[in-house]
Amino acid sequence: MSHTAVDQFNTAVYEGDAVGNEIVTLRAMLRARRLSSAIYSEVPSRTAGVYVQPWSEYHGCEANILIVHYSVFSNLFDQVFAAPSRKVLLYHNVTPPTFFEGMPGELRDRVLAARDGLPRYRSSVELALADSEYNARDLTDAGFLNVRVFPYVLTHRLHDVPPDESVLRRYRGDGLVNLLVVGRIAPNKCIEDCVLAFHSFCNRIEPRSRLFIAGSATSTEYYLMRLQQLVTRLGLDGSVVFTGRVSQAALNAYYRLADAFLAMSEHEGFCVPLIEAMLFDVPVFAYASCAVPETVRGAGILFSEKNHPEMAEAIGVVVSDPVWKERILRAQREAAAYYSSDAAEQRLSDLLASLGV
Amino acid sequence: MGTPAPEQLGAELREVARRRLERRPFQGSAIDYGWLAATFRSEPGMDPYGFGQLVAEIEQTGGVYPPEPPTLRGRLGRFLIDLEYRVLWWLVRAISRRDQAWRAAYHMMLALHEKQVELRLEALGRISEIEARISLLEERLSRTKPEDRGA
Repeated sequence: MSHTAVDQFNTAVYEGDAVGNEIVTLRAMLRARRLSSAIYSEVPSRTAGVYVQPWSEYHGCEANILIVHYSVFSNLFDQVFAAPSRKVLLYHNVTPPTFFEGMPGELRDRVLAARDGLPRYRSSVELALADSEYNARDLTDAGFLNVRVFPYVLTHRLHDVPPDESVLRRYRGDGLVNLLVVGRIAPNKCIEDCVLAFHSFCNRIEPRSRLFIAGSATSTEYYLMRLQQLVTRLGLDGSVVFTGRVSQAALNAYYRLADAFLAMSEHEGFCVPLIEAMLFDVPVFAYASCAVPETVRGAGILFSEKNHPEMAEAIGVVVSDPVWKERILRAQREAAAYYSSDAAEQRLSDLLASLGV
Repeated sequence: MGTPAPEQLGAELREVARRRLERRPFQGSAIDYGWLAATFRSEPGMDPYGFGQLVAEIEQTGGVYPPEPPTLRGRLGRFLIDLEYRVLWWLVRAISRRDQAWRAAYHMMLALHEKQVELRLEALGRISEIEARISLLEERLSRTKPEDRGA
């Protein structure tokens, strides 16, 4: 192994979380280059078979590089950015606090602290990376000078982990049209719009259909409760499945089952599930907010207005017409190639070379 | 990496969807989805202190263990917490009862709030009715000849 260590820090590292997946994947790619690489966070854990160490165990030196992932505020940031290592910030965006109305203090405070605290660390890092041009603008606005786009690195487990057979057995072959939403159950994701579009789809196009909503509701339990009430009010109980946090195998199974992928988010710094859906050959229907158009690179079907019945009609055309579906999937495959493992490996090599590693 | 130009395929499909929508604007239901979405999003404003979220957390997180790394320290921690849980059974029960009290208080407040909204809407409806009747009576009165008014 080389003497240079390239370590990473994030507030918390979870399996299934977009940032957590990228951290574990980057570690594997760095280790494949014979570089020493460990992951640190506020809380120790085991994520996707990797031990995440507590920050107290970190011993940096000037020869080492520390990639600091920035999305939620950490009380340790002052210590992390003061570490003697060479620091690289990887910015994943911070959700605006307006989306956290009706949430108790801690989550909203962390989001506010993350937005306010960003400019404070501009002089501590030698390079600031962002997963999209949209995110890069935030960094430039915060006064960072050496800003570069480093597109999100997809987890290898997307292809390596076979889909969960129990999920496939339960839902496959019943003739229902499956729509899928993937992401944290959070107000900025506007999952209520997906439920409304699905209601329109059921009413206008195909009553024999189902909506899977796959994602964790940790710290947003009240939003989940309100979504469940909306589902009941619309008479969709039994047609909408809230899966909760799912394993990679289960997520892969839901992508396999899906006939269409929906995203109505009003704030996205990147939106990884869009790429995952494209890789699983699921037609993407999304509201064109923030970084979404940039992420899908011209593929998928984007809507500049939230017209639920219009979206339902568009989904109806694609799920019933194989010609339309194939045209969309062809464009999506071309776009998804940008995020291939080979392309990611090349981008990481370029990054390390620019850092002299 | 620049933002790609809008995809022609998407524009074409949206146009097909729009045409279909125009042909059958109210098929299935005439629900105003925009209004429903706006109403849904405005609700959290009624709960600025996040009482609903706190109660939802209490409902979903009862009895969850703290992070448990696969180390000797982690396993020892788990053992100690298990032990503490059993030894302090009387305190755990008291905490559960307090959680139940919070839940009951929240649901009672929610029910009262809903009742209040209902009564307010009913009152507004009655006021509108009374205003309409007053307007009608005023109109009739204005049509009546002044000499008949005294009769």
